[in-house]
Amino acid sequence: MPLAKVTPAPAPASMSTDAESEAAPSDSQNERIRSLLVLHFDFVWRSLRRLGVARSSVDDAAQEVFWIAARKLDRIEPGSARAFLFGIAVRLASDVRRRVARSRELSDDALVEAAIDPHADVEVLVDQKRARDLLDVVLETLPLELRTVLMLSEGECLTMAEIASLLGIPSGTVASRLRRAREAFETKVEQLLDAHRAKESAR
Amino acid sequence: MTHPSSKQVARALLGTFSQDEVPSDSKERAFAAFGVAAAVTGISTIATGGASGAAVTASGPAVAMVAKSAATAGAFSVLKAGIAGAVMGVLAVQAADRVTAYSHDAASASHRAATHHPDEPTAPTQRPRGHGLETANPAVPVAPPLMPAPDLREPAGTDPSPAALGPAIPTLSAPVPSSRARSATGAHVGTTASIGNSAFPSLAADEKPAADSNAAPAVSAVRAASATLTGEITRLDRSRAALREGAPARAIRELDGYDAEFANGSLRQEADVLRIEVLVEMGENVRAHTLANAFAHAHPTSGYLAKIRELLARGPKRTAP
Repeated sequence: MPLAKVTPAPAPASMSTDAESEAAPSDSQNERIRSLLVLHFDFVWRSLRRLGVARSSVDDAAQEVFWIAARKLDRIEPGSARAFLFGIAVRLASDVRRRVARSRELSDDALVEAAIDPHADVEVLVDQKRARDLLDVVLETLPLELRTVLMLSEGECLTMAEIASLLGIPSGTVASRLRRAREAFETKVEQLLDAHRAKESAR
Repeated sequence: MTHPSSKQVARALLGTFSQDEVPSDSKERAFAAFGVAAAVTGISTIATGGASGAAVTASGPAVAMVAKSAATAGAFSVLKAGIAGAVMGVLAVQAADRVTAYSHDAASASHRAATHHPDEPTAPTQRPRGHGLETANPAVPVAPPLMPAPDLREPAGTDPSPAALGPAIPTLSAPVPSSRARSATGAHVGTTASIGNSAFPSLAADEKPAADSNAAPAVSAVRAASATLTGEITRLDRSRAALREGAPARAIRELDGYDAEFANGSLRQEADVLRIEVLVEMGENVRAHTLANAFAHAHPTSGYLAKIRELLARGPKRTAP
């Protein structure tokens, strides 16, 4: 679907003001964007998903990231494509989530209920999916900068140095964010568990 | 039943990140939108071992059974015990998920390994390397994962200490032996048997059937094998060159081409090692480790394990474009 080609709207304001997008791409530009796609599509897709873009929207958002990148090829420094794409993904993800949040007001509690409803399907895959949904619920409560380092560390298995390089921040900052992210994550899990155990025992 | 701690649950939930596999149709659509050839979209399945749960082959049944029972336990506990059960289910499923993921990859690699098995009648003359060492012995020990998954999550977990990596394995001093291989292609199977490296003992026993058979078919088979090998080497050389030039995307495409063209290729291990190297260069740590563990599982005595360990410990040499 040529969705994003004609609708660059979701791009953050700072990214969608360029006029260069109209020029027909050269062969080398095409080759470059294809290389980016081959190298980084999976990473971008996973990142968007982990930054809170709903499953149903990830495909479109991932393509959008590359359409935006295609218009900015000349700004991508050698060796920094991954970081560049990730930057676009982070901005796009928060944009998408803002829009979705306006149309969907679900409480944590309702999501948790849905995620761990013991009477739902027994299929293992569904259980896994519910656990993954629960992860989303908890991640939603984390500030974006903590969520970002947590998902890069836990999801992508990147080292602190790699995360620092990707985000363009000092390693020390990554370390402290990661520590705070883990603490916040565990605290939230604890709260959810306590709340539900209390509810269960009250029944 | 005791409640799992919130720490355990937190860890289990974080483990579900591993479910975020890019659906192949998502990838195909995106690639099509940008005009990338369909063949390239094979990367995901090759590099990650695929997402299908049905992949259980000879070397992985025990692992798969563990996964299945753990997963089933998870499902039952969810059914039986309300939220506490659900939480345990999450934990059990998480454990199963890890094991299952491992078995998928192991299965994928062992499937490839099976193409080298001596019992396979398909290509007895295309086994130039010394890897019959492991496939010839059915009681061969299974190497532990190169890098256990939990370790990967800690920054310090990339400890490449040999003690953590199973039995002592002969070290290969050189990477994929393209130059040596090239020098061997023009001759005959006896020569190609030395392609791997001199550290491996000769495979005289394996080569006998080809030598003993009817002369004319043997010669044509040898020529065919030789031509095939030349093609394989060309592909791998091109991939390696692309990697050297800082074009890992092209390197991956060449490797995909290799996989498509030489499903039962003689240089399968070299191709796998090269793919791991490219993934490392791309910063695709998870895929690189997954493939490395699958490789170790499929080829527990391979001389390439040392090189793979070194690659994983080293990390990217240069950055992707």
